[in-house]
Amino acid sequence: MKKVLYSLFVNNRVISFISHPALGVAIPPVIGLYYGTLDIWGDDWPWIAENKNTHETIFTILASLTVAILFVKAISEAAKGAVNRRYSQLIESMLLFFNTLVKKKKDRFYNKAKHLKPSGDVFRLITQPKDQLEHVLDGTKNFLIDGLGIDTKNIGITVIQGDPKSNKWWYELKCDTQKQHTRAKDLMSSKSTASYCYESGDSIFIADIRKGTKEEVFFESERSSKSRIGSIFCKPVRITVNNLEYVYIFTIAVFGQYLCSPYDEEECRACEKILDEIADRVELELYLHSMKQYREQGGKAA
Amino acid sequence: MRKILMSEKGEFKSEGKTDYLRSTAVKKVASMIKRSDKNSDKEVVIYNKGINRLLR
Repeated sequence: MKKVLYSLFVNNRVISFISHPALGVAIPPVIGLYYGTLDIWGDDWPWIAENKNTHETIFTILASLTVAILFVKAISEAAKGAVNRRYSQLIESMLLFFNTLVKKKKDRFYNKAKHLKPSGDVFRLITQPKDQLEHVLDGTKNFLIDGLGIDTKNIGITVIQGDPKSNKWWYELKCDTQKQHTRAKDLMSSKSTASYCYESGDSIFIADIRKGTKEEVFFESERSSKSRIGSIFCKPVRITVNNLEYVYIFTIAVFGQYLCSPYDEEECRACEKILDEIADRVELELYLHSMKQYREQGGKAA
Repeated sequence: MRKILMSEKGEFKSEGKTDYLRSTAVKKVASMIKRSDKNSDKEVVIYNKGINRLLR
């Protein structure tokens, strides 16, 4: 939808005013009554018969306004319908993402519970965080494609894990294993979004990667420099299991497209909120992943 | 803390079209999430510049 059409027919005070339900209830009966009065008693009632010119003017204004308002309202309703369809599509994608995560776990619990033995290792059997994390990453990608209309080739979702003491960093998970990514160690030792996140401990959403490069919080790879534009979201996750710290950086990168308009603060806040919700699901699985790693490696660092 | 780094209008050459339908839908979904997440204590800070000054 073009900005002019959107501003004219959806997002302005006049449209909000004429679409107000109270107006819709009060005005039509009053105008109908006035038209009826003119038609039926126009020649009999002196306040109409003696002021015909005035009533002709009022009638013309009201009739023109009625036609104009009906026309604008019809277009506005059509435009709002398009907005509502897009909203429903986004909500459906989000619910599908969350529901499939629950279903995946539920199915695994159901299947494993049937074969549990009293002496069996229940935690090892039912807890499959890596499998679940791969599913979360795939779900995130599908949400970006179906919900936000991002092209599949423009998406990069990764989880970097590291051991800061020995300065070792690696990709623990990638959404698309075929895709070439900048080496994790190179990212963490440069002025990248991931290293910024790790150092500050805060998540960050950069609506336009060009701004990130300018502010030295984005590392320009060959791919990102070719794409020129894009958005990136990074969230650091630090999990302590019995004094042993597990460090992860979850990243959603989109190159060649924006996740939202980089100049619209409200939209940036909204987009970041949705991405943060997704990151919360990833963080939850990373807790289990860390605990499982801790147990499998006998309490040693990853 | 959650940080957002935004561009200032006109700072970069405009590329790509704004999808107003998606924009409105995203805002509606986010406001719905916010309403259901009243206990969130995470502060959101918007930056236009100087985001890494404190860090580096």
